[in-house]
Amino acid sequence: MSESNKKISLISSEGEAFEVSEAVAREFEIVAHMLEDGCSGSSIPITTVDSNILGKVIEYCTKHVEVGNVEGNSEKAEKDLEEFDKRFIAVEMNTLFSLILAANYLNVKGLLNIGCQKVADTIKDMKPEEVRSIFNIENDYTPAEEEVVRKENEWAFQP
Amino acid sequence: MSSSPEKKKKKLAEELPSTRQTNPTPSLPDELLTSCIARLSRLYYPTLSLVSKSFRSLLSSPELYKARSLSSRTETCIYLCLESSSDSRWFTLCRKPDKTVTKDDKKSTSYVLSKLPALHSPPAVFSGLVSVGSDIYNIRSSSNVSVLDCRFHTWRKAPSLPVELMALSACAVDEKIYPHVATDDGVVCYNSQEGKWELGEAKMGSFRFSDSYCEVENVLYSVCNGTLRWYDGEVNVWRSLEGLVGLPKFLPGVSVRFGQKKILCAEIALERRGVCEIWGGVEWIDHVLTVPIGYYIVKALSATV
Repeated sequence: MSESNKKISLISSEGEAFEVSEAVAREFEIVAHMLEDGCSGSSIPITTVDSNILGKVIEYCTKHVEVGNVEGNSEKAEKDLEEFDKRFIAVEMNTLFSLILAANYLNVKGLLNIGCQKVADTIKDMKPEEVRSIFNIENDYTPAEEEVVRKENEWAFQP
Repeated sequence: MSSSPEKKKKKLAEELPSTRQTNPTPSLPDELLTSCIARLSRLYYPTLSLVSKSFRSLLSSPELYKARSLSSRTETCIYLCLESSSDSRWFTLCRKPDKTVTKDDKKSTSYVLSKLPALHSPPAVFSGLVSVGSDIYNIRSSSNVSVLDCRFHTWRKAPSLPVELMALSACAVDEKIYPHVATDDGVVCYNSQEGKWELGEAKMGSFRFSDSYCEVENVLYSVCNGTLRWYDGEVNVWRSLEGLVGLPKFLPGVSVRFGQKKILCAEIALERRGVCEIWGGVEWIDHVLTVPIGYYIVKALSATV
């Protein structure tokens, strides 16, 4: 019991400290592993994640730890959490990518999951040029090469 | 408490590998892009393949199919084989993004059977085609078995049968292929996991000679006399699907006449109400292909990719 009251400081890339309970910090699997490996430090630098994103990831983990601790009303809690996730992940693309990168690095599986799902849902109905601009990808097809690929999928480009 | 936090902090900083992105605009590395795309239906892949060369190769990479399989995102895809006197063509069901509709209407897209690119497909007959997992086996004779890998749309050779075929007919049960063979030693089956032919269990003696059936969650569905029927071991009798409206009349059996023929495809949601009732609702129905003149339908199959 005493462990869950322990506070840990997570330090963003700008050097800003975020104080969280150990239970929340353990939602970051990378931190959980370090704690299990005997690193009992009370402040942990997260050098690749900036304050804005780290704050968001902590918000996500705090909510999930809170709901996980509530006993009894599991169905309602689950619905609430689903609603929270939906609102939480409704961010602009660059923030979404940063959240996914952070979730991947810190190994927060739930966040990584909803982040990747959000990207998938966003791009599925897009035209190629829209997908390019989202991922900052350059069209490296020559017109002739593009024509070959279009031919292969000619059904998709008929009026 | 005095000096240890400083020391620890330093130690931890060393332990955390730095993966800082040099790109000022954050996008995603291939590994994460793969996890995103693995969540999409394959119906969207042809459009996405136009994004860039690297995107296209990612869409046909083994890593992507591994990610789909690991995250239980595999799906059933419909394949159709057409044949003329000179060649055979394979098609797969895709979603056709409608370029004229506004963004809000994009949900109302239509489906289409799209021709598989540049495949030199061997000739096929109805009874020699059988699908197992992500593969479609094309058995033409005991020494001539080829396999269409539906993940990458490539053909490969499979080992020859150890016995002579009696008639060209095969079916798949539990990921194994049972061809109809003449042998005193019992039943021969192809173990697709291990890629070899072996002796099957004798009790598998009675085959399900397939005509027009599919299995969904241990229930067998079949078209018969213009209606969709179902069968499972529990009920032990063929019953009609309830509540099904909006489908055109089924032709009795597979028609092989030449000429312009429209292929319609429908998705039917199934709901089991009690032991003896299954209801079906048409989710969508679309004209997905007009069979080119000179071609006839060999077989429609489903593969899991």
